[in-house]
Amino acid sequence: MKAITVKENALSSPIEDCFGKTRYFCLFDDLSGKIDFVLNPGNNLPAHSGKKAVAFLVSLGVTSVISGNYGITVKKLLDKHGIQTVIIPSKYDTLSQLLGVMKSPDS
Amino acid sequence: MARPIKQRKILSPFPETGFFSSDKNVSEEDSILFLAEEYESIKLIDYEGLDQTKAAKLMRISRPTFTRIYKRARGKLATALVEKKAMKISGENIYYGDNWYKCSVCECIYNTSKKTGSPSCPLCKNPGFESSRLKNL
Repeated sequence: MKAITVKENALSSPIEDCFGKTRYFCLFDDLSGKIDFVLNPGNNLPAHSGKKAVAFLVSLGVTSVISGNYGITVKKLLDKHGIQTVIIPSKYDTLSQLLGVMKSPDS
Repeated sequence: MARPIKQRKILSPFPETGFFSSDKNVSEEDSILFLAEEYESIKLIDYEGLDQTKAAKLMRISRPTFTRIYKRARGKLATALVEKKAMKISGENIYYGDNWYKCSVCECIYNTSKKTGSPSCPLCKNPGFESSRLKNL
């Protein structure tokens, strides 16, 4: 399962650049292509929001995370749990644009 | 002969290659060249809130060298802000801590961990041989 950082819980939502401070995660199931939105439990915390977000994603069984930027602590934690880190360029404005690339079989 | 410059370790690649100026009259050619190590020093100190000793250790350079890089970076950043100049980020004397790959199709940057193994692109499923291993920005 992959987790994408998004600002809103909708397909038209912009991609969030900061991993820890993201409001929602879009969970994408590789096998079924099903998507789901979950609230980031660490998004309102003044500090260590990334740590909380990583612990939450580990409990959900996420294998790779997709975002624009990761802090040092978050990167270390993701490596420790064997979660793949993906950095996306800013040409992807919305979630639907990104999902289009992920779902397309010939691209 | 002068001693060759030691390579600086960069933790995560930067997907963009610079910033434009909001002033339309400032030409792109007149941009400030920001080295990857300078970008990393600003990120570690001002964004992550580390102290210089810790940041120097992460970049595998001495503390005085880090201070020089950081001072130069702040000078360039100030010039860009005050003179409304564009910034280009590039660097050659760097290396990454992880195995980072850039997909030639969807342009995403990804690392390989022990569990995922295969270097194929996690977004567009592009096979690994079409992605290139990142050496510098």
